[in-house]
Amino acid sequence: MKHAYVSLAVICLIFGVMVSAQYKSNQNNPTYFSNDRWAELAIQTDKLKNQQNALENEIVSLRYQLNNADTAAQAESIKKMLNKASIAAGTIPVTGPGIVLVLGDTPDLPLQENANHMLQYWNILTIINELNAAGAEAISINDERIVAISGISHQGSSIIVNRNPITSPFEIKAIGNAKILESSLNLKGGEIQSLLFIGNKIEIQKADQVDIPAYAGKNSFHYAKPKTVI
Amino acid sequence: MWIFVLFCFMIGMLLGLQMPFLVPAFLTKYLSIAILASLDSFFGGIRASLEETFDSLVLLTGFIANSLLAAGFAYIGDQLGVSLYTAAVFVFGVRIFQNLAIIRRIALNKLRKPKPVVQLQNGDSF
Repeated sequence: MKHAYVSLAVICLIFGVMVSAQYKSNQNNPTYFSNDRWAELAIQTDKLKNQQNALENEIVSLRYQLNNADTAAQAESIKKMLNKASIAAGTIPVTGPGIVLVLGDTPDLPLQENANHMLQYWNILTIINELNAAGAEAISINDERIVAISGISHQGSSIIVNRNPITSPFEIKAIGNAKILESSLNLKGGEIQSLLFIGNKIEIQKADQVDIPAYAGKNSFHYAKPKTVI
Repeated sequence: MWIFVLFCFMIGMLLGLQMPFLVPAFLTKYLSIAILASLDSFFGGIRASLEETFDSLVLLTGFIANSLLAAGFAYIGDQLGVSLYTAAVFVFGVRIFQNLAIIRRIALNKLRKPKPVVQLQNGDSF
């Protein structure tokens, strides 16, 4: 009978480890959704994302067609003006020298502490503002073009740019004078410095060719009308 | 002896609580079924020792094989979209209750035996 106690004790030991480990991880990240529901939601999100991508591509290609139709019929100077306006408005993809900035959360911290280091929308907003102040000509975050009517906000823990949620790591691209852009980002007391201080991973790279996609959001204006007729 | 078993359980709990990492979320489901399997083996072991048919090799192999099998079963179920997980929970639940019932009966019998049983004679009344 001595054997019985020894092997029961062994099982109890393992049992105890499993119970407390399970208890601990359930305390730390309670599952609000059952796994099935989770999978279902994931599939739905995926579908909707695909749909959205397809629609955005359509918008961009239709705008291309529109631009081409306009310019084919009209004079060269109007085409130039239109190009300038398009770059400013962000309705066409642009390319040029600039910088690529990759912002990440700190993935190696445990979940709870990581929440304090999560990038918030105002961090991104400040960086965009710094880039604009340094003379950036076109900016995108995770391929969402920043234009005059872009909004950066948050919904729960996700960051919304142009009404699309984006997730870490955040890749901010900017076209402009790479030297000026980089040095203004690295200013002492700037946003990058303070983010580095609390442990976020940040990479800034100068690039000769940065590709920034077109703005694919809202294109109809219901309230604003031009005051002087061109 | 039972205190030794309880002591081991406590040590296990402490070890688990002191573990430096958390169980990843996708594994908690399989761990929970392994917990059920070990609970089942534990009661099965007590029952066998009370029935004096105890074999430690049977117990240990049963423990390991059952927990792996149950977790694997649940995993396959997840891959196929059938909740085989529930089947394992059901089986272990039934077995645990059965074992507990048998343990209870044996314990009751052991308690009853030493007491003198009064035989009723003809003509006696309650």
